[in-house]
Amino acid sequence: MADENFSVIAVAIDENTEAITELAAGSTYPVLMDEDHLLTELFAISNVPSVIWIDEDGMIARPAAAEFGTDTFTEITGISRETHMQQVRNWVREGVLPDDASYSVPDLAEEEVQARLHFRLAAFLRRAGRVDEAETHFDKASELTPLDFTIVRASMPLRGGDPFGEEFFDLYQKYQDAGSPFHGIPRGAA
Amino acid sequence: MTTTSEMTVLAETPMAIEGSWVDGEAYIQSKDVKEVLGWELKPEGLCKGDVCIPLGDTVDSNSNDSFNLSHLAALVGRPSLTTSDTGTVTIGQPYSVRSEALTKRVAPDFSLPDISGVDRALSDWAGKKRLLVAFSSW
Repeated sequence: MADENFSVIAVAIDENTEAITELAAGSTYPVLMDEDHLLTELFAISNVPSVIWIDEDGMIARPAAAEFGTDTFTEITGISRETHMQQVRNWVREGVLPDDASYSVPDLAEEEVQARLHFRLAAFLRRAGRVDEAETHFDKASELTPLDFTIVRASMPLRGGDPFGEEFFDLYQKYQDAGSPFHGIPRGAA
Repeated sequence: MTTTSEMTVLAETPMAIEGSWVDGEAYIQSKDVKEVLGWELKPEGLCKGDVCIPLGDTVDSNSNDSFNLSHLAALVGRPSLTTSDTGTVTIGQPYSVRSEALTKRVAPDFSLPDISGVDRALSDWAGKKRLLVAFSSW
């Protein structure tokens, strides 16, 4: 759909350019690096993948939802892309929006805002080699938002942990037990 | 008595400025306000374009023409995190930008480097339908 007045813009909520370059190998669309998680503040994103539809006038046509616009990462997420891709085609070609596009994503609570600041500070301190200070602020961020993947899971590889290991499964279990709260269209919403 | 010392401000990009610390609070000189916050300190208050916000009594200042940075940030609707032990003030995005995204559906513009290091903005694709895909390696 590249020539249909349409573009995918992938943004990695990540500082690992090497890993992202590998993941994005062969992609025909731009891949941007958001090491400070700017988008999680601007759009209230709390997990990845989060896909947001933006129209020609710069308005959000459909807010964040856990979808993939391409099949590049389907293997990792296990999320089927076909329904979503059909919806995207209908939007691009016919201007038709799915019913769930009107869903209103809740704003960040103040502790989620503060957690993002602690995360950004921690990431900065870590890059500056100030590892102990970084740990303090990764801890504070995770205490404030124990179920936010862009905080807790994103910090795992920055703290010597494994984002695909046991600590991730612990987080995922707690997240599910809490009713899978995230800032985006819930599965099956219409 | 306050002493000036180097202070790191994490706003849009990290910057090092001369500031001062008083009781754990960060104070910056009036000349640095514009570079840090994008708003200029004038006699009328904090100004950007035609808009000026009077400081009123919400912004603490001290004798050497320095102003409390977290108070200034709050005045222009931005959250901040002051950590004197790290010598750092972290300033978040304006509350109003996210609120307009969520309630009025206005997509905030942003600029980030692509994997080759070239800065790209959302508005580079203005006039097109865009699928913004946030993903990660973690």
